[in-house]
Amino acid sequence: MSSLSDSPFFFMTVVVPLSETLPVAIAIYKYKQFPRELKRFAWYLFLNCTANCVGSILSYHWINNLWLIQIYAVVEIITLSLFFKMLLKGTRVHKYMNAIMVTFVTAAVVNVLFFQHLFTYPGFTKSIESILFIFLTISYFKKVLDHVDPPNKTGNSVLFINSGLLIYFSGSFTLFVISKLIIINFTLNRFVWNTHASLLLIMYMLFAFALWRYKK
Amino acid sequence: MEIQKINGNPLFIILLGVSGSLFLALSVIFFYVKYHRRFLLQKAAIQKAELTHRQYIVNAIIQSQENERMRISKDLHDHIGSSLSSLRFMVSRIQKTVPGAQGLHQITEEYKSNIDRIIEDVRNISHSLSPAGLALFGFQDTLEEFCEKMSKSTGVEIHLKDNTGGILQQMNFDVALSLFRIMQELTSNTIKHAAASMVSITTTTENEFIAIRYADNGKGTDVNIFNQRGIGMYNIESRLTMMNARFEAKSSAGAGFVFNIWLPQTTLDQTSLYE
Repeated sequence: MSSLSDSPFFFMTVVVPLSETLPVAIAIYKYKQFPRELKRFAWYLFLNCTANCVGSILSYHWINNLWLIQIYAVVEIITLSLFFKMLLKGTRVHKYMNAIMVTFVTAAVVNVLFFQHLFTYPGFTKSIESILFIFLTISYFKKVLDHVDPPNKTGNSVLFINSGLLIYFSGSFTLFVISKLIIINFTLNRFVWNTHASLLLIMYMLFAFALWRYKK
Repeated sequence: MEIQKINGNPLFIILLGVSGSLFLALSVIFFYVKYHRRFLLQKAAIQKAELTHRQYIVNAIIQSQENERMRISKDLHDHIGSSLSSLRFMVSRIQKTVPGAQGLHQITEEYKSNIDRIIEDVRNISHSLSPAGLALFGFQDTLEEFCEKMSKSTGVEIHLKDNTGGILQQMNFDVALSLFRIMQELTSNTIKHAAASMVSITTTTENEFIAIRYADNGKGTDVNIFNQRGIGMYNIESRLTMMNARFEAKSSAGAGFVFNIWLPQTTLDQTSLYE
């Protein structure tokens, strides 16, 4: 009789989603100490965790949860963009943040309506989302480098969050692009999503470290 | 053949794509960290250079101030002092030339006592501008003399206790002068602002340091004197920095004022503080 840990999807369906509880627990524990930027980021984490929980419950009951990924992709674009809007204050990118948000959300909605319907994986939305956040994370690095003073305590934590996001989105970009092609091949599918889960794990650990090292 | 092999292995292509993207992301982070570290190091170096330059200017100001004080003190002592002495001698000669004139004798005696007072004042000003005793008798004796004078003129008791075994007597003139100026400034602050009745200055040796403790029993202050310092306190800080000394000020309302200095013994042998 095979146990759950023997399942080829154990790492991506159990280990990685559970690992997210670490940054979420730290965010809850330290929420009151956080400045506005980290509070906004904590809300992104809470929403992400909720979506993951609901997704896991649905998948446990063999119910298609891809509609949730479609909806969450839009929510993620909005919440993370709002976080970056705060971080990129004083830069040229900040002026266009509202337009960027509207454009990307529209693209995601158009994708659901005309290309990848609600019960399929939103590979296109996730791909353009990756491009957006690779651009925004690099913009934040540029902003810090252009600034004369070294980053403060908030800035130091945000740098780790930013690095986590950059590693995750750039690493996952290829996976999102080819997600449509590999759906039929089981081995490939498992490899791709385990790689994706590994990137998520790295990102969550960097989030946890960033939030833990923040001291008021 | 190689292309065909790659085309036939989607796992390899995916791995290549993910690795390539990850490599780019890690490169961005690596260059950011490297560039940022270099930027911070450069900034620290600029700040250090600015600080050194500022200290150099302060040293130059203090040195020229001391030189000017010495010159004025010398002029007062040598020219005005000797002119007054010869004036006193001339008044004595008038007395001797016209003996028996009662009224004239009284006037000349008044002149002489006035001239004596002026000579004394000039000497005091000259000594306070450049304490001549420092070169002749050393720091401890000059400070003792200064404390005695201040006690007499202001009524504030100043106690001096030396537990260094005479080390302070042997120190270099520049260091002695700086320390003396610091003690002058602290005493003057106590007299002007603290409404104290007693001051104690204690010197001891602590490992490789000379510890100097200045304390008064005045009204004290809750204000951090280094945050709201005037020129006097700024000069004290600059002189102590020049001597590589550590220092701290402790005070609170109603609890007097304490100033502690830890002077490295190696500084005592320095030939010049101003280089």
